[in-house]
Amino acid sequence: MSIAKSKFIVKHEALIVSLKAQYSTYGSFDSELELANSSIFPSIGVFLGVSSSNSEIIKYKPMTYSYILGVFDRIDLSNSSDALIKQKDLFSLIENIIETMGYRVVGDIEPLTEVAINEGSFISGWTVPIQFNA
Amino acid sequence: MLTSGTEGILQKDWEVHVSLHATSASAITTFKGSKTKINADAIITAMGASGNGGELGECRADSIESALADGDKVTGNKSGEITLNKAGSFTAELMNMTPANIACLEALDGQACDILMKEVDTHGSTMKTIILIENHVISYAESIKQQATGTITVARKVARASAWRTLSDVSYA
Repeated sequence: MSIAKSKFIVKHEALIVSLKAQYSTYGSFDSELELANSSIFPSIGVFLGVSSSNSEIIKYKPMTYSYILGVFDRIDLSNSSDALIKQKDLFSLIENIIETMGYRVVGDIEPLTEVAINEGSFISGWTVPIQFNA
Repeated sequence: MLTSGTEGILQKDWEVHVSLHATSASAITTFKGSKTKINADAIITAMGASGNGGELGECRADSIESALADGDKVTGNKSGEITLNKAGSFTAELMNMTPANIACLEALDGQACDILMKEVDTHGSTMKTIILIENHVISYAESIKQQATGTITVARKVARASAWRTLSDVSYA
């Protein structure tokens, strides 16, 4: 039995395709694990978020789809200025993505403090939720 | 004919375009004759090119509303309550309160205007809903505080829904 792809997934896949076309020099990833396992930095991530539905009707009917947009770079913990420089560059990048792609932002741009991804590797960056009508 | 289902249950965001009726009347007549993307966009072009209107943006998303409620009523001795007319109203709250935008809305205050609401996204893959509120007098009000806003409103009692607005789905393929 084949199950048709949800519009939530189709939209997510389309987002990644358009980001890859626009920001070809960056890595673009659609899941946290894919990002963590890659060696392409700086990178852009669009992760599955929330499908919110209308609870006032009996049938299931999604109204909005939200995704997490993030920008990430690997930082050198032994270099005190490296993280700050990369955070500044990444903030400019996430603002540029929002403006260029015309995304509707539904939350604050929040800093991602250092996260370990592989042995001896740490990433830093910014995340923000973006929303689309279903 | 009515159809049951969930196809029309959608969240929609709207673009609002406004101008004096004299400016856009001709383009609106053309659109009503043939409801196409080209003719809908021609109204928007006419509204923007006139110098006395254009796109009202950026507006607070949930402030944009075209509503139609029951108006005056009488009680008949046999039939019971009869609604004589419908009370149409339109509101949009502009947040981009530049001096130029304020001056433009001020100039439209009290004038017969046309308002075009266009769905920002598409539904059913390529369709956009277009709502035309035609030849009604606009009122402009403003509130200047930490976040300044300008509000345009229209209120008019009409005989039936079609006299208040023209609503259509147009293919934007």
